[in-house]
Amino acid sequence: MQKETIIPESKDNAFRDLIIKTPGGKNIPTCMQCGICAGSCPVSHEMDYTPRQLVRMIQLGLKKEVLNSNTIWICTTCFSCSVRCPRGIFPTELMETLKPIAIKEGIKNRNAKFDNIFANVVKNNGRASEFLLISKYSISEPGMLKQAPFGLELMSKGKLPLSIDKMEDARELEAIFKLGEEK
Amino acid sequence: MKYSYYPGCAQHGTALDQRISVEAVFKRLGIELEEIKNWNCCGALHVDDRTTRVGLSARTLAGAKGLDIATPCNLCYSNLMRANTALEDSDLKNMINGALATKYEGNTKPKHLLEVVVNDLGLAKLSEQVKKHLKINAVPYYGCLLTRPENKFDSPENPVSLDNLISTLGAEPVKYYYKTKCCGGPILLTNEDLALQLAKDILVMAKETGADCMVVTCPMCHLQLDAKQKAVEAKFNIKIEMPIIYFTQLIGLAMGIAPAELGLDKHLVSTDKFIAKAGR
Repeated sequence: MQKETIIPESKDNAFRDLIIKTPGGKNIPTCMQCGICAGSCPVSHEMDYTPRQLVRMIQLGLKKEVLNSNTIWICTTCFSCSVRCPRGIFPTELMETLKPIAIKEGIKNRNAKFDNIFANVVKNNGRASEFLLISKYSISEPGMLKQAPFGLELMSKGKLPLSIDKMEDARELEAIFKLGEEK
Repeated sequence: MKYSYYPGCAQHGTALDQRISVEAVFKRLGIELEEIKNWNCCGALHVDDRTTRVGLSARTLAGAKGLDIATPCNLCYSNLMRANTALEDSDLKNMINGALATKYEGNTKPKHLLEVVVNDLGLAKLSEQVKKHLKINAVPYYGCLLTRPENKFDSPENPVSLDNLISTLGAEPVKYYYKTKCCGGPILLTNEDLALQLAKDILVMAKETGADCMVVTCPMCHLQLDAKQKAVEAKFNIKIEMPIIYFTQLIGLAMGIAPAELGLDKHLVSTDKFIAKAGR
């Protein structure tokens, strides 16, 4: 990867402070760049910045680079990095912190789209009906059509029921989802 | 023994086989699982807002009515555990309780069904129910979220509970270095190429041990390793043919329960050869 010079104008201290104040963010300034997170990560080879680099970039306040990195979305949330970090930083939770911020900043990708569909299905039905999720996601991702034979195979085993699994009453969840929307 | 039971969404869909085996096995073990009324999804790994995600699990924890919660899913288990930790922040707890019909006091203990069997029932007690020693070699595969990040029930680096369970059933747990490596399940729909690569590594390593099956604890691992196994074979032009067995199904076989009563006919990878060998 070509090395880029960090210019003072790309540093955003407000962004750095915002992330450090989030739950799990307070240990970020203590990162000593040991790289255990990147070495433990099963998917760091696909990331444009490894978890180690991302933490450093947050220390430096590189908001644009952090929020545009694919790192946040490639993470499989396996927590291998988090149980090993000698500084008590939870890079997995950091990815979770960054997702809604990136979405708010206008980042659009398949993961953000899927997460939005997922949250809405849960909000409206109380449960994540796999059939409903896949149908809604396939409408916006035409590439999913090639999964149709797989869906049929699951159906033949009774594993993808067409009936939508729902709570008897999902109204209480509205208040829970509202907590997130009010922020 | 009685638990509030939180099945999780997969039990009503792709984890049909696990659901059938849980129903068959736990009753016979004398463990009562009382399903939580009107339960909701835990948000899995896809409800991005933290407060909402913790709130969804807080509602579940509040619904336990003084009992421990048992769940068959690693994701649900991890979310419930993490919610308990997050709710130690009293401001967050008060805010979330403001949105809940039943307030959560903070003292419900979530347990994975594996923990219920291995720790609460105990392997000595389980061995009394074993009618048939399974003369097979099995790969113990724990996945990510059973032991991470909360690290309360077994080691996140080298867990042994499933190994010990496999031994108790008369089978041999093989040495397997990827026992806690990620299967790729969470990114299956959004990044299939990478997800299948991760599944391939796990399956190839399992195949190399020469084991008769791989034992899993999580519906998402099962979906990745069983249902998508054919896709892995096609993509990388390899033959795996590895039966992926839920630990509840393995217990059932050792208790002498018929394979169909354990959902073993619902897998996408054939279990016939495995059943024939385990049934000897």
